[in-house]
Amino acid sequence: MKNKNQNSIENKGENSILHSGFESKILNKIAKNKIEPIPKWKLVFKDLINWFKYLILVIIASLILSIFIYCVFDTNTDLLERAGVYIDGVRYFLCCMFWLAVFISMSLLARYCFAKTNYSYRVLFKATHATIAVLILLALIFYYYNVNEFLEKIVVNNIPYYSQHFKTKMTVWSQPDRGLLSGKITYISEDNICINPKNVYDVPHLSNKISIEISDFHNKKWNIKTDDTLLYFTGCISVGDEIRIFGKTHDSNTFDVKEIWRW
Amino acid sequence: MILKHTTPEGDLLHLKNDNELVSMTLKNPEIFGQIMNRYYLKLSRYIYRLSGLLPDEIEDVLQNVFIKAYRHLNDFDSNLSFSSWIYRITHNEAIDYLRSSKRKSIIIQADQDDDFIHSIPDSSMDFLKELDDDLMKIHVSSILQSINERYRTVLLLKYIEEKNYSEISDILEIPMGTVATLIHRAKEEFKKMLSVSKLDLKNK
Repeated sequence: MKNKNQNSIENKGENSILHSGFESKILNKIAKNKIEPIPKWKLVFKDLINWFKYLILVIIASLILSIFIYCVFDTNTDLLERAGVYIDGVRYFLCCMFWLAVFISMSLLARYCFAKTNYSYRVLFKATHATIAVLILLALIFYYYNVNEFLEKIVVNNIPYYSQHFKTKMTVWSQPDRGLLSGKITYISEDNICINPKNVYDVPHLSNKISIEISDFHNKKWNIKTDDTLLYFTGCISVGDEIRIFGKTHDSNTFDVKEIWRW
Repeated sequence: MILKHTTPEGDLLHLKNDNELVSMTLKNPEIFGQIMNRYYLKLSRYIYRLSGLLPDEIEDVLQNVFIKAYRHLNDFDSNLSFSSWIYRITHNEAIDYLRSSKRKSIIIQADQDDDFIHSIPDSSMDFLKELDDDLMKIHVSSILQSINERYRTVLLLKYIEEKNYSEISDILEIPMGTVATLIHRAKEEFKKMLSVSKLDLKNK
């Protein structure tokens, strides 16, 4: 025996005449409130917005992952220790973890936006795997081309806490009084300096004296004096390239260089 | 008696399939009445089984469902079955209604849904054949209501609404693999709880 609720529902449904009243009610409501189907283009646009958000978040997440990769693999602690700069392990670990946490948040947000797109549920697992692969690939490309620094510059310039408490590549290599200088080459007395070492253990010397000018990240001009300088890079450096220099200050805008590294 | 709407051309609307009705509704809103007529009872039952709402509440939910469906008609993709599409809207509306009224699904009286037990065709559920006595049916219904909401939903869709995996995937917007996993787990959970109930009954 069915209870009152069930009977009520079935009685309402079994005779279409009865729920024709419901139909009329809805049709009247549609007419009275001038309800109209949302235009197709609006729905397509809404879906495109979700795709756009997803793609932007994937790019941002990749950028952040590239910073994390740099944070973990590109510390140059031995070089920094020679300059008397000691990295606070805990603080450095927290800095890396900060970027990892931001990366995870962005990735989850990207997945959420993807899940909001039409029919994403049909390919959710495959798409998640593909997104992870794309994230890693893009992050490696960004890392290779130093694109991560662009974002790090924004953070350093806009979040005082970050630059005060976390030693970034930029802040570490902007301490000329400690022998660490970096910037963009604005002048070089030769067309370029090219290095092609025979093996990885071969560190070429720059025997002849070359005049180099650089503009550091605070736009200060420096004259760089080379003298038996070690060159820790392969290929060529020329005007417009960014470099790191290890040496000591000669005067307020002259720097004696011992080692040159590509930025 | 079934209402037989006709188009100006004199076509019998009840012979048209859902996709044709959707296309026709976009030109003439009155045709939407035929779609409502076709799905009113099915959706009412589904909402009731899912949530145990009262008839007036079900009608409120259905109003929202049909208005929403009408507004989003252009969003309906003909590659998807219309039935799955409108079930999806119904499912979401029913869940939203429960959430907005801060209620959990209401316990349905045991004798109301014994058709559920007989609609489970899976051989792994052979033990259900033993369910002759009313007392056991009462237990089965209470198990259904106490089971996890996601499990209850997939069991309802699979065995009461007789939807296939692809349709359930489209309704719940989850991958097909997840549907299979959920159904498997739901059956395991159901069997486990039923065994405990049987033991309790024997002890009594």
